[in-house]
Amino acid sequence: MQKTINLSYKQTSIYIYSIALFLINISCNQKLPHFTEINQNVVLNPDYTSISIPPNIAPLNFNIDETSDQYMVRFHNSNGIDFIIRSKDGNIDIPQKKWTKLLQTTVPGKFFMDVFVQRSQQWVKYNTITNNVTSDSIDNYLAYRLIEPGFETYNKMGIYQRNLENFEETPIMLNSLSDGNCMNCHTFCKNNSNTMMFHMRGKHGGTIIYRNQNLTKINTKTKNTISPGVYSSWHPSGNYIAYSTNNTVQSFHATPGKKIEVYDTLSDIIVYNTKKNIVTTCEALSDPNRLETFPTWSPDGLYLYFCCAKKQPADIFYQTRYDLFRIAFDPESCSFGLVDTIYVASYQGKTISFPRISPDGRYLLFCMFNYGNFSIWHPESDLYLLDLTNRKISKPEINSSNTESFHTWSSTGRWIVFSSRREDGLYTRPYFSYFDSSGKAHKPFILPQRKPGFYFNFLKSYNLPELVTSRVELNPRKLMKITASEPVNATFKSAD
Amino acid sequence: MIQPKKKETSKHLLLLSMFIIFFLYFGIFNRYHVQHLEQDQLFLYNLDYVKDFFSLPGGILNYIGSFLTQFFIFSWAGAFIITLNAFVVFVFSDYIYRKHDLKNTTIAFVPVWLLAILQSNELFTFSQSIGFLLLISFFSLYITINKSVLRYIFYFAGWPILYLLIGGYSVPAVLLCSLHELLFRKQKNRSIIFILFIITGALIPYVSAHFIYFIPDNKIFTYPVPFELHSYSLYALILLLVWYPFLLLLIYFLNKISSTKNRIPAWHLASSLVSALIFALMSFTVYNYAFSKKAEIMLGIDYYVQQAEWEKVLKLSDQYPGNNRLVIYYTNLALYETGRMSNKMFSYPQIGVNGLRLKWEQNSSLQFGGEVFYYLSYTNEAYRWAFEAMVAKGINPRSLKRLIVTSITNGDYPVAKKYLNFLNQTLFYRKWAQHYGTYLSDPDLAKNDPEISQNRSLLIHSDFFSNDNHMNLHNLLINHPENKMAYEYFMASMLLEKNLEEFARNIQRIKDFGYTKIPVHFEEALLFYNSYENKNLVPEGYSFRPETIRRFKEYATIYAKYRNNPYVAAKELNKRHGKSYWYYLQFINNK
Repeated sequence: MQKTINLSYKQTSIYIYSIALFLINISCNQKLPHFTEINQNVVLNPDYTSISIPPNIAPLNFNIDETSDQYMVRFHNSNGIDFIIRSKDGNIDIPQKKWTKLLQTTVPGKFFMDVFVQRSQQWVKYNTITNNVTSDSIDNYLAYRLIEPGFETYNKMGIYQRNLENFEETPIMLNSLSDGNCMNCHTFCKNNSNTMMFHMRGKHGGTIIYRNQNLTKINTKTKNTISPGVYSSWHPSGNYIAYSTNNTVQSFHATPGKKIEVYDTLSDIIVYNTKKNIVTTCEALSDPNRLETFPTWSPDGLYLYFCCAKKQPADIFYQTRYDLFRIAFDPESCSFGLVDTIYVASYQGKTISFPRISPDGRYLLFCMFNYGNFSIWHPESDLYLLDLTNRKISKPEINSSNTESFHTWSSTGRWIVFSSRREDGLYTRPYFSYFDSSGKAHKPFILPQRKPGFYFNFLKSYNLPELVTSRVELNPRKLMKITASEPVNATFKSAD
Repeated sequence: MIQPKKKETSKHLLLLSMFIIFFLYFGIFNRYHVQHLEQDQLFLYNLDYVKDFFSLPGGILNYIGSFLTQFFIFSWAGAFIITLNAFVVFVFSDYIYRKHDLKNTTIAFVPVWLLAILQSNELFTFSQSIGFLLLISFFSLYITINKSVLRYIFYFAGWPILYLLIGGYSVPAVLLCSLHELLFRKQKNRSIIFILFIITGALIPYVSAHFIYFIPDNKIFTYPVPFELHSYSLYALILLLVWYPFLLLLIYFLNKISSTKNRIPAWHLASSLVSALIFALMSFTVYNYAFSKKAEIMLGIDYYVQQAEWEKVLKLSDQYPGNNRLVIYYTNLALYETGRMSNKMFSYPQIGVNGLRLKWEQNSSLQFGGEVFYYLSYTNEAYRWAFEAMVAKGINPRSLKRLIVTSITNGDYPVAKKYLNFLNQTLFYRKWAQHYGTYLSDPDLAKNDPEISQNRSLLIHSDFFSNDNHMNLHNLLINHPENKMAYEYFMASMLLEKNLEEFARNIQRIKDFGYTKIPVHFEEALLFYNSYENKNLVPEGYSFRPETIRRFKEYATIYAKYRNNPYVAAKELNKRHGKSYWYYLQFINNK
């Protein structure tokens, strides 16, 4: 008897819920004016069509890039969410609560956007847009540096973090609080906001390391190394950071379509022991006849991957092409093993940069372009994927005709964030792509902003976008003292 | 004894004449300076742009300042706005003094005088003057309130807002209000109020620096007051900020020693004359110590370069006293553009090849240094200088215009579109932006634009790297042997470097550029070279002018006469041949 009553109760609940949904749909449909459908795809700016998004992303506000008197977008899914946003200027500003509910009730699945525009008192509906909400969340925060894509000059710059669930952006460090110096190469250990580092240059030079709630400032330059650390990668244990040390020069091209060439005349790789404050290297990582750079650890910490090229005379620097190698590493003894060639890009007349390995250790994402190592100023630079299990290279369908460059994986390996200049060829923007379990990278979408026209009016580039799992509990006030302090000198110890 | 009405009339006439002088000083003497201020900022009619101004205390100053500075595009409008601001400062000053029982027009004019000194310096932007105006507006309003409680409420509620609005300019208001309460009000609790006022003034900036703003500790109480000014400007700034507190103290102590009646000087003939004398002295100090004629000429030259009014560039260059790299650089550019470079460049001061380009430095020269590359059709380099200038100085119309034109030239339309969008949001550059915007929607229209068309025809196809110490003229000529400006600059650089061997190697190319005669300085150099090297090199199809040969013989004769005494030789040759290449070659810029 009890069972029957319970069943009846459930049925009643479903019945009531269905009626409510029906009423919601009716009320929503009643809001829709009479319209005619056209078999045409609408142009949205940014392009948020046919994309896969995480369930915890901020509202994807956009502009309807069509000339019209009025605009209307209906958002709906198969689970009863249905709301309409109206606009007179084409800017669709989605309320956070409605958006969150839409994603929560969709995941995993699809939601739909019906775009209507009114022309000469007639409403027209474009083809319905279908977007996919994945069950894989993205790490909550994105850290990046904002700086003008200048040649040599810089003015105001800062390292910021953006809450990806809303539009909150807060500075981690601003150079206005450190006498306008340059700062760069912020890096996290396994997407962990509690273990990070970045470099200060110039007057307050040194590497700021944040670990276990402690801040230290280290001078990684020793008399045995070329320069202080530059490109960096945290060992998964957090006990080591691999750095390149570079003597970098910039030159300025004369032909249209090319602007700057940034290249190394010298470069080595060092490993910094965060516990012992010791810098070390080995012959394979500091061959004076070769240029070693862009170190990155394998997720198990047993290999250090890096790019390496034969040093070329300055007048034929454009023949400098980097290949991918790895060297075995013993974290216990901090010693290096044998070098293994992973991918010889130079055989194809190409060069590679920024190797990054997925957290599961299977894929390696990297940039490939014509020559040199500074991919951001190479419009032909694209992202490629190396399957480390079979060493096959593929080109994911996330590239554009302009530069794709710096990229990182999310902590789960299901999301990629990468820099792209596809918008105008100059200003770098962060794009996200869903990387599914079959190894396919889905159509990317740009970091959403409250105002759809934000990027068009924004004159700074997003450098080194790094996904982090939680908020970085640092801000310029907290960092002001340590950045102004004298750095502790690291000591050098050869590993050979 | 002057009648009261006449007293007022003579006072007003004196004041009127002072403000007319003030207006004319900025309208005439600082004309180019005023216009230059406009070139250093860009006011956008876009609400999104407003929020950028609020990241630091005093942001509203920059916003209001930028709004008003946009009108400085017309120097007379700029002078009028600067004068109007000064006049309002004067009115408030006068009011503040009167409220403290001091009626002296001359003293009320002191802040105006200090503002004139400060605004003669291009580093003191108009925003700063607005900051000062808002400071004394606040204090004027404060002393207007007679009821003590209301006055306290006004201070405790108003001063924190004032700090947020004008930053460091609000700090003197703390002192002013505190002194006013302590010295000029009779409330029993005035000592406590004094202390509370001071505590508020210290606490609010400190708290806001820890919860609202990210600001260095050393700027919490001063930003955006430009204490980085030098010399007279810095003294004037400090004096301006301490002037009112100082006066309050002075008035208070004067009150102690004499009655108010005796203290206020009557406006009679003698005091009028004294006032006139003081005003004259103020004008003198501004003109002699604050005004920089050299800077004004430089900015004038720069203004005409932007307008491509080359004759006016040369006219101003003639007026410039002494040698200045920027002036020489612009003069050489104007000489080329007027077709006189190879005939007249040694009539002007020369400092070697450094006079053909500016040094690559991350300072204000970035805004000027790209001009020569633009006219040389070295488009990437012109773009680079413009971009760096925008990074260094912030968004400004000059850099944007150059970035747009060079981007269109290079076919880089998305970037051009982005920058055009900014100019489209302005009052005075919208029309310009709309014109160039048509080139994006219909690229064929750009073919009718003479500058873009010219620079496109000379686009670089064989890549090379920019040389920060030279001009890549050789590379430009390899790419486009028909680039006449590159050729003339190349030959000029050879002459300036005194490299006659290389000059002679390239002289035969003049026939490729349509010269009907050998340019005079080329003749001079070649005659010297032939004589020195015992050669008879003459470009095919050309001959030397008899006049040049005669002058050379005369030069050689004088030189031979004083060969053993170079100082006398230089003096004698300078009289008749000081503007020849021979004179430069032998006596100028010798290492």
